[in-house]
Amino acid sequence: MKHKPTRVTNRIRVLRAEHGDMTQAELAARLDVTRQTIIAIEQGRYSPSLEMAFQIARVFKLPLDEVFQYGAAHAG
Amino acid sequence: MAVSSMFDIRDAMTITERYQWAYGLAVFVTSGAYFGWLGGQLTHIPAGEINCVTPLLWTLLGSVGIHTLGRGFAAHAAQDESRTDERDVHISQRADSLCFLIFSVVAAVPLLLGIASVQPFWITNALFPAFSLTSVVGVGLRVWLYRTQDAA
Repeated sequence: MKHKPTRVTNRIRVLRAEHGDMTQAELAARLDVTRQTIIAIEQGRYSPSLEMAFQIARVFKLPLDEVFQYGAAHAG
Repeated sequence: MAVSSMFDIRDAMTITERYQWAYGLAVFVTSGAYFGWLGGQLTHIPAGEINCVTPLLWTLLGSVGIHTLGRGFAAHAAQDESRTDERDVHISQRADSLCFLIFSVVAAVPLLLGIASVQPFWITNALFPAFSLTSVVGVGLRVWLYRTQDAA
């Protein structure tokens, strides 16, 4: 199925691997969201709210822009 | 195969999406049955002589029953994965706004029939498909958004 990517990319998959192979389910539970939402964010099908983005960054103990990037081609 | 494993689709869908499938199934089955019955009646009885009130009430009751059962199966299959989150809300809001537009257009038909003072049979049977169509399109739209699109 063809997905429409968002302009926001992220390193969540890599960061999960770097944090003890955290599973999508574990991350979802820590954020109190569905695992399907984590999958959608990782695949670039869903841009989380700013609040959720900060929560994700906090889980990995990183600044927001080390987790999420806005593509250079789209920069303003 | 146990019923619970037949409906064990946790990996594929959120509970909200499963509820949408239950709702869509209920509307599709009951509306299909009603329109099938109505089509059969229209082949040999003049429209004005058809009593559609009782079948329509049974259709609505059946729809509520199937939807409730479907939600029960979905919740059972979900087990402990019953979260909803902001993505569900965003998808719902987006689908609702489009459904409102669709219903506004299709509901114009029974409105015009009412203005033209046609038989109540035709007004009823123009309004009911408007609800059914909007419901089915709404479910399809939500499922499509869940599977393909950025809902932000």
